[in-house]
Amino acid sequence: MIKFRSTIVAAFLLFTVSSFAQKDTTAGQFSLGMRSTISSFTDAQSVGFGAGGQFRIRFSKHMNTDWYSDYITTNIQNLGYRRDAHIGWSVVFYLDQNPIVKGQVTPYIVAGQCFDYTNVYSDYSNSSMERWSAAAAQGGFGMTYNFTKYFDFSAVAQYMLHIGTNVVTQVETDEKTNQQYLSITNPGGASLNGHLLITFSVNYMLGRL
Amino acid sequence: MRKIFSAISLFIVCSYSFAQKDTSKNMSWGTVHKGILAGVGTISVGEMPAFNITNAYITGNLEYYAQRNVSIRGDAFFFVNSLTQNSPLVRNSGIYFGAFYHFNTHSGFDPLIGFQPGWSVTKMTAQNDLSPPALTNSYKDATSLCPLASVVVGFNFFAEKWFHIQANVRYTAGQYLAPSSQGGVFADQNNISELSFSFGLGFNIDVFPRRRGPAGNPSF
Repeated sequence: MIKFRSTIVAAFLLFTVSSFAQKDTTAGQFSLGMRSTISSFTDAQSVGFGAGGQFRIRFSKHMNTDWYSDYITTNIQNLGYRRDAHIGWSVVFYLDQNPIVKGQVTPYIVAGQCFDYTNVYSDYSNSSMERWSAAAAQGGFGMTYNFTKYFDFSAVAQYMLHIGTNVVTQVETDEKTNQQYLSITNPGGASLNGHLLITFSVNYMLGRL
Repeated sequence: MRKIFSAISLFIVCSYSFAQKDTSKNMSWGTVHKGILAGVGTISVGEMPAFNITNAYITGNLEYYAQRNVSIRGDAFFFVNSLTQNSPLVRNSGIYFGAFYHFNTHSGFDPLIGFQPGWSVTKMTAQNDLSPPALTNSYKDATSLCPLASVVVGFNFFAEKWFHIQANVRYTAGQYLAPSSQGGVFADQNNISELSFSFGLGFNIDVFPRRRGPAGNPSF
């Protein structure tokens, strides 16, 4: 009797898996894209700007993955600048019941992890500081619009937390000369500083892996 | 008499063979379709409002029509010089890569709009107009890699089998950030946004001439 039940359950599981496999023709879709990113809330209310590329590998109808690289520069009130390089990945979950359809907007949520390089330069005594971080995490909300079945434009806003060591910048005033300057410090220990990233991208689906 | 007869015969044969070879009316030359690989090399002129200068570039691009309405295109801009005196720009060459949407006109006229992020390798002189001319070389500042974003509108016109005409207007947004040898980080002098125009003759081939038609299911 137990053997019979096990056989029934196994057959049911096999049937379910095979039916999923047959219906899901979206798995394995590979897209390639380019992106522009606006970075804000980083240093002294300055806004940065970057460019990069990405590719996407879709796992299922509602789940996609985003593998990206960005290079962002920020002018910090003309007192210094910051350069950020990001290499990371995100999981994308489409909120629409029938996502990625031509002529339709598909909203999605996104979350992932990122490797982060930061270099900050202050004009004050020509000082600079850099750091590497393998522990940045990001999450947010986005939307994608499909011009054709294979070509889309996406916009996403996500907050990236630099979990780990951080470089802190602050605009201060020299008491003697009354001149503003940018101070750079590395306070040590973990911090939860981050920045809001707004990314616009165009992507083209090249085929299925 | 024999010469005249031979000449007339040769003329008729030539005319007949030309008529046989000229099948352009039956082909799809001059129409936009999937599989076109197009390349253009030309000169571009750009206006940089932050410095009120005009720049000249040698430009080239390579474009592939992945679908009738969508192409993937890469552009390269080689900075020749500024056409305005006392320009702070020393170097400003860049590359762009992105995708274009083509509006269907059912003809060889192919209006397009595209989005292309990119990067430029830029170098400026600091406060060039304030520097003594003899010291200009000592006031050269660091070369910097600058991220760019650009929007392009324009058209291609496919009138011939191998050649087409291209015109583009591009707005590029970007900023130059590098330490200045005169102190500061180029206060009010870091905006390298530019409006550029290019017009040129391009060469095109069909990558998949037998697979012309509606886009199929893409697959590796």
